Amino acid sequence: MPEPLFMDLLTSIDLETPEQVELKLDLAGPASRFAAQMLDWLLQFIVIMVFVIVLVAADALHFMDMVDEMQGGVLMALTIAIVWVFLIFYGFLFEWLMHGRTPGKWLINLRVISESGGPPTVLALFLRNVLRFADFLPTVYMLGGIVCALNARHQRLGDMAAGTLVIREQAPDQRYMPAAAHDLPRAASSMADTSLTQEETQLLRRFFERRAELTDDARYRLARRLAEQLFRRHGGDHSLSDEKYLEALYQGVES
Amino acid sequence: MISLYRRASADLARLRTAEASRDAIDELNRIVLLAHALIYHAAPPTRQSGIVQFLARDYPRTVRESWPFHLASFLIATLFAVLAFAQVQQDPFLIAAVMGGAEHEFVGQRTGADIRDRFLEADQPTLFSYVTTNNIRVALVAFALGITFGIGTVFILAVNGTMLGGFAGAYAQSGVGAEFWITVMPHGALELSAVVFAGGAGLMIGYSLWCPGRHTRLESLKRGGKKALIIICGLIPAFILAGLIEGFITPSAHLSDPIKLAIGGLAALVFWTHLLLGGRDQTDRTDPATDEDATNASAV
Repeated sequence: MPEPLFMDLLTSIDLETPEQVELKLDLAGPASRFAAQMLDWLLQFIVIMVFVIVLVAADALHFMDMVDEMQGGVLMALTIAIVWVFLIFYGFLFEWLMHGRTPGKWLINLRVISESGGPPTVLALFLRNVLRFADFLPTVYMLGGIVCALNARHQRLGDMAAGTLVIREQAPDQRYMPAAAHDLPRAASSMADTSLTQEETQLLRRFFERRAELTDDARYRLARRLAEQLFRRHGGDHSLSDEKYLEALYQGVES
Repeated sequence: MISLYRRASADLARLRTAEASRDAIDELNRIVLLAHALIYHAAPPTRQSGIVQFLARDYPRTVRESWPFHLASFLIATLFAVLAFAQVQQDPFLIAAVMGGAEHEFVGQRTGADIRDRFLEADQPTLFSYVTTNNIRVALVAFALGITFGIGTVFILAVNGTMLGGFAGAYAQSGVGAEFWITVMPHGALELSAVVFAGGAGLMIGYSLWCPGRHTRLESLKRGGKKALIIICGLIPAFILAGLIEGFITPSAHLSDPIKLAIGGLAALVFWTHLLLGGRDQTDRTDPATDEDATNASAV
């Protein structure tokens, strides 16, 4: 099957499960990862700005006068601590609480997973985030970006040490959501029993996959053509509608 | 769930062989991937005792196992501290170079009171917060830069050693060296120890890259990084304790110097005792390597 041209730019790796089924993982490249990072920076900036504005407003409204000097110090200390934890542990905390995503990664559909395909351990998340200090060098993730671009699995230094990958996640395909799946007759268990050829099975499957999107007219004509051709080869009960006949064929229920 | 997963992954394999619709394969791939993560990598139940056991046993054991790195870290920092001390004795204006142009504050006659005032002026909770966050950051950076084959870590240790030695030199030159050490030591005993261990953790990562031994460099990095990380995580409580002392005890006007030193000394004593003795009394877990060897031997 010919791939679209831009697929060359997307890297994926295969992960073999104990069932010996290969699962495909789409790796996130340096560009999309940096885009996620910029969104995270933006969020950090906004949150800190709001925090500062609230503090300044509280001060301007003499809200702070109510707390005496010592408590004012405690407030300042808390401010430093909160802002610092938010900035330094931003990546770790979000990746930990949001199962491998920061808000930026979530927006771009990226996720951190372990090299074995599962969720990373808390220690691995901590390690990859502490090593940001090294990846950031000399500034704006230049070192990490170069390493990530050259690395076959698009890992920055922190990922290499922690054994993690950043993958792109596909959004669920709407056509296969329960509503659309309703259109696809159950076939998995009986596929081998039918006398349909592989090509015919595929043809039918595509039809079922798409029929909800077709206009009524096109759907009707397509069903008619398919049904006529298949009836000639396979026979069966064609007394109901064309689509019912196709479904019956597909299910292997040759009544 | 598991039987569903088996059926789905079997279907995926079949679809691949049948070269079915690409969209269908992608979607099934996505679903099976999620199920795979849930089944094979279910989060181990978090033990209540996890953190306690980590701090009480794993952390001191790891530090003891890696003592040569901490010794090296100590020697590097000390070397630069001594050099800076000696240099500043000769040329007091050098401290300006270390401090980036704040010479008016550091050059010239100082009295013991000056040093104290610098601490007394500060708002205590703010000082605690600032100092603690700053120290933890320095430790994390010293650790992270280990991945530059240790060069960055050596640099951080050198800078911090130079600062300490430089200040000590400048104050000693003004004849208030003793005052300086009395002011610094209550929190410094713990804080400087912790920085040295953080540097040691960074050097460990650097070493794992220089000398990977039987493993690939990457594998060696992963192992070294994991061990070094245990040390860093264990040090964080020590930094918070040091920050508490520096924020509240050192600048306190109510406590006398001997009491401050005693509190600092006690904290450092607890820290070191825990490192040297923690996790020793329990029956040592069998070394996984020897265990494996034994199994192999019996199998042969």
